Amino acid sequence: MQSLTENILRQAAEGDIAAFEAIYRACSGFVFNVACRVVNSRDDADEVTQEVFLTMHRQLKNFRFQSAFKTWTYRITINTAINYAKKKSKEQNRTVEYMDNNEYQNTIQENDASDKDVVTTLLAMLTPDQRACLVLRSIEGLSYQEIAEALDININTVRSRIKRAREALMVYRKKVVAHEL
Amino acid sequence: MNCKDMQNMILTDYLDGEMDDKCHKQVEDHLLRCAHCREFEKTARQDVFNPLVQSEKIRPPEYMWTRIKESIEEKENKSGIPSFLEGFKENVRSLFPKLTPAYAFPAFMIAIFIMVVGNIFFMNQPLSKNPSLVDYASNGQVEYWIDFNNDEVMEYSADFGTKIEQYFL
Ligand SMILES: [Zn+2]
Repeated sequence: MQSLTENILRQAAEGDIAAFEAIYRACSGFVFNVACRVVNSRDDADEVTQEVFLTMHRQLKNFRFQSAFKTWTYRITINTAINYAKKKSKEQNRTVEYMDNNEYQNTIQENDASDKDVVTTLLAMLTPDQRACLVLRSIEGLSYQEIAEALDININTVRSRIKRAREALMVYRKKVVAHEL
Repeated sequence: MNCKDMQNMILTDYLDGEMDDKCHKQVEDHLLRCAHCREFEKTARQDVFNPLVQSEKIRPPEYMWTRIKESIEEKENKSGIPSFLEGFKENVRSLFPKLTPAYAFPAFMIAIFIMVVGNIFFMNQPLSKNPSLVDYASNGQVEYWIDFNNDEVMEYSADFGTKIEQYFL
């Protein structure tokens, strides 16, 4: 994420749309990529990204210090994405209850077949909370400390979510290999 | 440390490079001696770590900014305060720099108290026949109307830092 001057942040807080566009240009890469990966769907990422920037626009006037801007952006982005992913997985669970098992298996296979990249398939094996930690660490390169601050959780919780996520992925990979052989 | 502990560290701090030199060396030494953990590290790195670290960043589509900008403009229009009055609202607020939620509640209670007491004192006279009182009461309300009708009241309270204050404000 590119850094922004305090002047731009202040102008945007005062309602200057050009200054807010500068903020968008600096952060949208991070926001959109995290949204895509945590929600694990490109279509839904549009909605999440839009919500993140509208929240930022609304709350920018409470914002004083440039140094904290990154953490603030991380926080809004990751929380919006996790909430969206959780809401969506609840809806999916409800749909599954109405389908019989065969139907559900078919849906999974169809989804697997339509996935373009291996990352999407891997991330689909995880809970939204695990996905969030792994995406921020492995894809966006945040430190454990930065993730803990963004999610407002203990650094050891970050560790344990990352560990469980990678364990789950290793189990999945093993199954895939066994199945293929 | 047993192999399970080692593997836990490999899956987290070791792969992510979050380890200090001493711990790092401990793991490396173990890997030299233990084929089982060596295999585990290799599999974890290849199957789980590398695909994510090497994944391509997905860029936002071009229409994204236009959409966000339109939503912002739409919201501003819906808020009912025309843009040329936004400045006025800010000016009014800047006249009361000390007007923060912490003072708003006591001040509001005092205003109510004055109005109630005033009403009792001037009960015989209808309010409309006492212009000074009407002025006073409505002026008192204007300040707070601006603040209480502001959807950022709760957000302002964030300036105070503690949750307990947010709860009471
Ligand atoms: Zn070992």
